[in-house]
Amino acid sequence: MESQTRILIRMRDVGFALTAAAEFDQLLSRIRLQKLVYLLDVLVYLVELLPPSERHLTYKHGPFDAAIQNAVDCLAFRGLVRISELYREPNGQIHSNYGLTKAGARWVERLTGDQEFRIRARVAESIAREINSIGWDQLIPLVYAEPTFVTARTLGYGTRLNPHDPLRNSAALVLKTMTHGLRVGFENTVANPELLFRLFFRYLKEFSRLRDQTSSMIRSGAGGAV
Amino acid sequence: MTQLITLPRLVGFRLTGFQPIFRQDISMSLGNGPNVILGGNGLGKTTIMQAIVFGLTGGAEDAIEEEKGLRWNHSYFRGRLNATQLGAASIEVDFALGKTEFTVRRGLNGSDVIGFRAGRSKRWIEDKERAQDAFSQALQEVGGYQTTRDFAFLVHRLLYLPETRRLLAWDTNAQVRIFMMLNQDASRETWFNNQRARLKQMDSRKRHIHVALGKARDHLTTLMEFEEQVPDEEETHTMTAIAPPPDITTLVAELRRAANESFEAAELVQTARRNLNDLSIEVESLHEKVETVEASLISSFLSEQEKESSLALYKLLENGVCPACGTVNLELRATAEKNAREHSCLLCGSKIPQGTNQELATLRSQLSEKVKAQRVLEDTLAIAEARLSALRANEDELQQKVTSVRLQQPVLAVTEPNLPETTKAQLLAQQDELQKQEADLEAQIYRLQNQLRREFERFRTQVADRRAHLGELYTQYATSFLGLKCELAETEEHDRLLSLSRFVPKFNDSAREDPETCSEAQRFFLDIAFRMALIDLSSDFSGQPSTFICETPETALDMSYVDNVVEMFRRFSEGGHTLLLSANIQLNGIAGKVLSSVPKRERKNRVLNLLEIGQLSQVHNAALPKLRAAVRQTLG
Repeated sequence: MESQTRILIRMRDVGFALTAAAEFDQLLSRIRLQKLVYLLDVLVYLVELLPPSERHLTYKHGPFDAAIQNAVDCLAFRGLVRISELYREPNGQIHSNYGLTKAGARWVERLTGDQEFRIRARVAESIAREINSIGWDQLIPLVYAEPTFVTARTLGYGTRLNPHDPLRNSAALVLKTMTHGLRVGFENTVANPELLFRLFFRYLKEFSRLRDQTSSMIRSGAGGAV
Repeated sequence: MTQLITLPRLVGFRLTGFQPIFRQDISMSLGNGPNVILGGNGLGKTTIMQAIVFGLTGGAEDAIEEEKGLRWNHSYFRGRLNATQLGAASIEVDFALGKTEFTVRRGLNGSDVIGFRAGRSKRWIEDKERAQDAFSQALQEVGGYQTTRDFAFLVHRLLYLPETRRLLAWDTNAQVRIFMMLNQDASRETWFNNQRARLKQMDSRKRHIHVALGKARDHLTTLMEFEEQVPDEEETHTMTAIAPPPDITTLVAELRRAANESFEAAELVQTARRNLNDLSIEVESLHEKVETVEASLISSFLSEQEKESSLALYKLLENGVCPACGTVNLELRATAEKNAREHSCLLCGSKIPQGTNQELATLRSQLSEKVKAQRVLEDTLAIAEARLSALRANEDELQQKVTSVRLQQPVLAVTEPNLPETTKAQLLAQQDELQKQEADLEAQIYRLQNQLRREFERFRTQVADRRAHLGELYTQYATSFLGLKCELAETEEHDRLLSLSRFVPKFNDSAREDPETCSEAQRFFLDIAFRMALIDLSSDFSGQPSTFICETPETALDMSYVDNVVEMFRRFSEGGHTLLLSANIQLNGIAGKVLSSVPKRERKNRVLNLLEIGQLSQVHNAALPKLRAAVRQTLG
């Protein structure tokens, strides 16, 4: 894909992610922005939209797509995104928080005039709602529990993530299994996207909790060698 | 969509606890281009090469090596090391699949992976099962390999040329398998290979039945003669029972039915997979178009918003205000205006994607249809795969039952002469059953042969361009070596079960169909040329360099050809590949010439000098000054 197209598509996603976070009075840091857009790409599967064709790779802090950072930087330069709390951390890493300016919020409103963009924006909103109920500090652990990333993270940096491949261990496979389970096991339940969102986040939360439990067991020496 | 295979590139290795062969633990990092393991006779060159290949693959078991005599595993090292140290000895190999580096560790008490890590800075996975899983997963997901066996096969038969000179150049089976694996986007290598194995099994079964049928006929003749000669019942001798156990016929019928079902289910899986691949290509292409138009829409909203809020880029366009320093610059404005007219970024002039809303609606509706169809196909494939797996398990179970019953009592027991207990009617029934089985198998074999032939032809046609490209690559290498034009010809190898085409060298207007039509050196170096061409071909697809490991290439080489061989290796190294050679310590040997392409200061790092770490014999010690002088010359 042409890099201009990539960046523009990611500008849209950044706009939706920042709007969704702002609904809950949240600014997003660089890492959290990456994670929220990753979850957005994962969960558009439920509404039968596709994620951008150039996808996330495994990197230092989980799934990473360089186009997202470039997009937010462009939007900031153009006056649609506001940067706050910009500083260099002791380890050399740059920290910054992002939120939309008024002009940025107007631009997102224009975008949501398009029907499919509106659906995408709603998915971002639902994700933000779920995260808000679990806690924003849990955003990164939740992404670390996403099945595609769980499988790929042991393979080192630069591994391409495809959470929509239902023939492998992926978010799509989990979502399909949940849909099937609801259809077969609960006659009066409709497997609508909202219900599946909730179940999926519950799954991520539980997975994350169990993994933490195992890690602390290993750290305390009860679990044997890693 | 099927991912193409990325061949591994060797990055380094460590051998721990290899005493007494070596005086110390060994470690080497490999650079792109030539790397040499330099040593005299018995100093451990082959052990190191085998250890590296063992570390990567776990040895060459029956799935890798057809020739029983050439199979090997961890036992190869056992007689060479101190028994007490075996448990502590290990081999670690660093390798890269594309840009991602991995390290695999194996011990010498077995062939399993005992440690694995992705990236040098990562933690080791030391739980055996998890390490093996992670290794397989890395090969599948990063390297595109279907199984670890496929990986091992490619390392053994393509990337590693051992001292036993196991050639690929005239080996049809290995060539077909490798070429199909490297072109797995166009081939169904696993299916093809499994079906060939099945064809062999069916043929072997048919021959057994044929032998049994012959015996049944003989017995029947004997019985009839016996009846004619000895009409008096009292004089009849006993004969061992030859009737099969009562349930075998039912079991065989069940097995046949199960095999047919599995076969049909496998066909369904293949068809679903092919359809899914085709559809995925369409989805991807449509998706890209949709995104281009969406990007255009996003960009136009951006411009509108910038205008409405009078943001920096709008001010540049309207008033020529530089968005970086705030001064008015009319030249900059003119450039911005020109870029705006050409639908490009105002500042850098990169093209902004263009499309109309109407086009977007059509494209989205097409994409939506395709995505729905894709999801249905994914479901179909998942169900078909689950069914196939269950059917295969059932088939295996039935096969085991049949085998166990057959082992308890063969189809026909050898009868003691003149002791008939079985009646003529029983024998006739048995003969009929065997004839029917033979005819069934013949029909199945015929059907499978045709299917495999068709599949192979389809594959060859689909990769016609790649075959031609392989030919070009080969011609360059082989001609550098021979000093006269040498091309790659394709000839058919006639086989009783399945005739397949293979690649052979052609020079002096003659395709060399048998290895005997070439000298020993020609055979060996034309094989190297063929392997390098295949590695280049794979590298052209994946964009990633690989490694070729060759033991003592100078053996059997006439000195007049040394420069040609060096040229061949130089050409290979220029592709960014890593070359790992072992060589004897010799004045003016091939190692020095191959290393001459490496800057002098780096050469020492590219050579593992076994004079320093190997156990020297009395002969070596006596010749030590000369050997050291030769090493110095090799290092330039």
